[in-house]
Amino acid sequence: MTAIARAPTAVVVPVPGPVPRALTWGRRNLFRTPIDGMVTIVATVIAAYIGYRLFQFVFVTGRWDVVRVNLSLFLVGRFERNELWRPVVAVLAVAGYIGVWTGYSRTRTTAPIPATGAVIANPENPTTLGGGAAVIGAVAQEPPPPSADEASEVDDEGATPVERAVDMLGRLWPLIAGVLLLLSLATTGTPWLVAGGTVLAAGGGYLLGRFVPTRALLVVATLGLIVAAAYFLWVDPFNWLGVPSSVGKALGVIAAAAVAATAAGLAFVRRIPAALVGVGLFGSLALLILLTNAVGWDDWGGLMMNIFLAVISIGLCFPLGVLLALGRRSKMPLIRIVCTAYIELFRGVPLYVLLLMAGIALGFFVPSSITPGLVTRAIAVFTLFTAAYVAEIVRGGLQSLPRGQTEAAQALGLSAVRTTFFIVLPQALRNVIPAMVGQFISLFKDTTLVGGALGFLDLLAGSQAATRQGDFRGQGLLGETIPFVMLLFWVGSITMSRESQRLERKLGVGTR
Amino acid sequence: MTAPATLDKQAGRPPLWRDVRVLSWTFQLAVVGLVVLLVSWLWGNVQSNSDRLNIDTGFDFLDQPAGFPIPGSDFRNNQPISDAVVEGLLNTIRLAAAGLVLATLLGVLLGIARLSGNFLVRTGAKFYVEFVRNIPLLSLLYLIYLAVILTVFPRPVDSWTLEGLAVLNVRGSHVAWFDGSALALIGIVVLGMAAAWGVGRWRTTVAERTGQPARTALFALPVMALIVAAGWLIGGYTLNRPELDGNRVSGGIEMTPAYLGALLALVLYTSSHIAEIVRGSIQAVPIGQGEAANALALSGFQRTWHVILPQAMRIAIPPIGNQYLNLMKNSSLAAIISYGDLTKVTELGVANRSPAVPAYALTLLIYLGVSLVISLAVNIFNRRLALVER
Amino acid sequence: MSDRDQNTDVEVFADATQMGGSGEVMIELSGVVKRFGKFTALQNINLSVGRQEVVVVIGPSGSGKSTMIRCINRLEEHDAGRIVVDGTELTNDLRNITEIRRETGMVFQQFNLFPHLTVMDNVTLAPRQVRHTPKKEAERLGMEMLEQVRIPEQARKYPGQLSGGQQQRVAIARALAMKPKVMLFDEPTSALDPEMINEVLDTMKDLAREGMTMIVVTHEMGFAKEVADRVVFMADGQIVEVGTPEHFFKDPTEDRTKLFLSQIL
Repeated sequence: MTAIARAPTAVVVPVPGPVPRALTWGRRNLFRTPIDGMVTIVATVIAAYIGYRLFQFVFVTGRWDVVRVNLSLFLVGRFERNELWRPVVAVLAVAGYIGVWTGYSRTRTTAPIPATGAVIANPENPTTLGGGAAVIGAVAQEPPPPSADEASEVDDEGATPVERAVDMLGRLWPLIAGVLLLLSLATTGTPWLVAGGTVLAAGGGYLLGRFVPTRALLVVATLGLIVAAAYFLWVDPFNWLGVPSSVGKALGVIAAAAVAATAAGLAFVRRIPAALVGVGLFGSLALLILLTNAVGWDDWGGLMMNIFLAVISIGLCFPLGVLLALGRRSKMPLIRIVCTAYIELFRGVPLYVLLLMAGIALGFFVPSSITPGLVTRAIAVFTLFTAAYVAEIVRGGLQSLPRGQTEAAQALGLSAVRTTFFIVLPQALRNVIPAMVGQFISLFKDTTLVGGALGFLDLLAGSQAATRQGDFRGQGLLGETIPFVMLLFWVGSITMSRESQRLERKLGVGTR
Repeated sequence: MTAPATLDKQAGRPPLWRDVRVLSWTFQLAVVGLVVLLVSWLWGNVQSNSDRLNIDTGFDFLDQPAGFPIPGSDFRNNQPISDAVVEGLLNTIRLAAAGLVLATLLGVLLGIARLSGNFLVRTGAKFYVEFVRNIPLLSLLYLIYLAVILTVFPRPVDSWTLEGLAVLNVRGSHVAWFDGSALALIGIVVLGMAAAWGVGRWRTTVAERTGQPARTALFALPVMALIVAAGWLIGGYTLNRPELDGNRVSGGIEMTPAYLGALLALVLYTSSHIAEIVRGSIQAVPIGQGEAANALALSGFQRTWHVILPQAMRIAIPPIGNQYLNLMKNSSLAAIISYGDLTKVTELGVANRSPAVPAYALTLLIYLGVSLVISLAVNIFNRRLALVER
Repeated sequence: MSDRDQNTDVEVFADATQMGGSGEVMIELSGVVKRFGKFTALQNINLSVGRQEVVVVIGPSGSGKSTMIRCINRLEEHDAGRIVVDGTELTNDLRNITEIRRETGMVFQQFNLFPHLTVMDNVTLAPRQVRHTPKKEAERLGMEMLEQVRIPEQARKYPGQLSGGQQQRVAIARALAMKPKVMLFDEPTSALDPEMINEVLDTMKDLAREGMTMIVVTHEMGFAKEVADRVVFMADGQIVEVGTPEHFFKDPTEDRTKLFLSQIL
């Protein structure tokens, strides 16, 4: 009798109905093992307690009047109340300018240029950790294919305006919430007007950049420059140099004309961005003078001072940082030594000590006829200090560029200067944008040191100054003011950090 | 055409102004010349200004009596300034060393917590890290010192006591410490670590020979504990417990409020950065590595210990080294809350008639020296760990 | 091929002084030595390349072939010996170096196109910056070159949007736009996928047909057989054997050559 193997008859098991997703998620994320479950319970209790105390503090027991009453102290320090229109004009101008840039970039339809060499990650976003990952990746496996998927994920060219608005809301909620918080603390209606005005200026700029045709935009830009030149005629910007008024005004107009000509010339020969950059540089100069002409530096303060110090320092330190980076990688030994010495010196010492030194000892380094003001000293220190860090960042970008690029340029007969300017720098600088943003965020937070080192009334120092005003004295209100200031810095920092992460994803950080 | 008999490259020497080597060196010398000019102008100004104000520019001031006390220590007014500088540097090291160790521990824990399977643990760590990372260190320092320690900590009479281990109040915090030479104890610990390492090597050899698991920790840790314990007993170390007596505290090691505040701020701040680095480095290990480990039937622990962590560590070392440098430099902020570190000593010195330029120059050089030492240590560690490549 | 002497009886020594082409010497290397630290990459290289001659250099990796042609346009600096290109000697004279770089075009293994510039900008950058050609004329020239390598329609695209074979052809056009007298090719097809190798080789064959002086370092033996006037075999930093393709591939003289050919053919 042959044994016939027979498949056992299938046993019919009733299939359980679909499990609600929340339950599976809960099981996986909260109660995977018994220990996990206990941890969840303990954590829930702790979280609930913290949440309860926090809620109580913020909404019930917190004495927020100190913040409400001193809001302008926090924002602008002791700036003359009558002259506050100057910062407002500056904010509106900057918002408009950003709007124009954003609108203009929407009109460009060329395909995204892939990054050459590794894009240097923002060290504040170590999820990518460019260099290290590159090393491991190169040894362990093939580099990931160009991130077409990620690129299309953030390339919202095809998204509807509503989708884009929602996306922006999701991204920028800390900023929006922060602004709303400040507005809610305002005691008058002016902040609302300013906020509204800023949104209008940004929106208007966007429409301008998006829909006004190229040539017309150039005409508008040139007109703007002419207006600025007229302003310089009126305002005599160089009188702090001690030159007679007519000379100062003439110098102002000449400077305006030079920048205008360069920008317009570049724009008509090349592309719009050069014109926009020219307007930006020029406009910044004009804004600076607008802000400081009538009001001395010493009355600056608050959040405005922190932003101002950070922006000026990063702007000024940029050329120096690029030169130092190029010098550090130079084949000429003396240049390399000098640049390396500078970079290592400024990266090895604490910023706080340098600021203290600037306050007390800087006077020794300059002839006694010049007495630089405290703000000037602070800017000088921040610039020199940040230049060293920027140099290291740019050096990373230079190193990430394949050697073949310079070789190809040399083989074509391009001189060293032209090679650097046309081939090396455009690529290297583009690769380091995320890391530069990270450095700016660091700098922004470091500007708080001026309060302790030089006695400025910046935003953080304001938190203590507010508790010494009149009725608020001696009530231990630091517990309210300091967290408020922390929150403002947090909003600024995380917004910039998130945007740079987004930029990193778009550019494709890490291995090529 | 025949090959030339001599290899005379010098024939036809280009004119100087077109010779690339001449051009290169001329440019370099010009730049260096400019730098030298700048530096000598600056130095000249320092000299003339100092002469004008009748201030010294040398380092003689170091031998003068200090004329100021250092907060939180028993430094006496009449000791020379050089002693003050040493004391300041020691204080900086005390703060930075403790900070480095604690920040690393907390940072690594937080980094791992951010990758935990448990949602609450993960999110809690995320909130903490995302908040602390994005605020200025100084604001954290102010909050902890001014708003917490000085306001919330109780008066000595009502000190918080953790039985036999710690007594905390607004005047200072006392923690149980040991009596005896610290250096010798460090030596004993190092000895213990060396013995543990030796045991580890022995176990590895055994494991290789027999194929049985090495279980190094099981053998090495008790050995180390034994040695430390033996050293403790033989060296006559005793535990010095703080005790509250009315409104005075005796015993234990005292941490001034400034020290505690600065330490907490530095640790909380730097650990958030280290946490992000740790998390990022683990995530940066290509996912294929874990997949390969799984395909080879390695257990979860083995996968983490033998495959993921070694690679993650190599990625993490340079950024963490950077954070160490930052912590050391950030320790200078403790001077703002009057902790007697090197910066504070310099400030006090200059306020008490020490010449500013030499004093600050010396301070900068010392900080630079410490930075270089830390950098060197990190570099050596990094190089030893580097993956071997073609 | 253009008319030149057929040197069937080539005396094979390390001294490769016989040459083909139209008779005039275009490039001459005499006693060239190049060291990298303790390692000598080129030991006493002697080679003459005639006008309109196509020389193909083959050899195992590490033999110094790339180093040799990189010395010709000063991407590497030779330590001893003389290099003369079209009468200009390669020395530390900045003017000589620039002159030689203008007269030689190089095509790299990794293409090395400038990714942030369009194809047209890549091709016209050097003529505009080095020869100071006005923009319109440069673009006209650029289109001509792109047509010559048969991809005029890609002019406004970015290199990242092109295939490997197309990128390499743009690189050739970019080098040609400077109207060089000599074209140097450093393993131009080694980084290409197989299906794209032929389009590049065809372009190179066209160039040879039109009478360009070329030195090509390659592993493509088919190309050598078809197009080369002379084949140079290098190993361990020395020229081991030189000969016409017929001589070389059918009946090489040196043992080292035979060994190499047996390994690759």
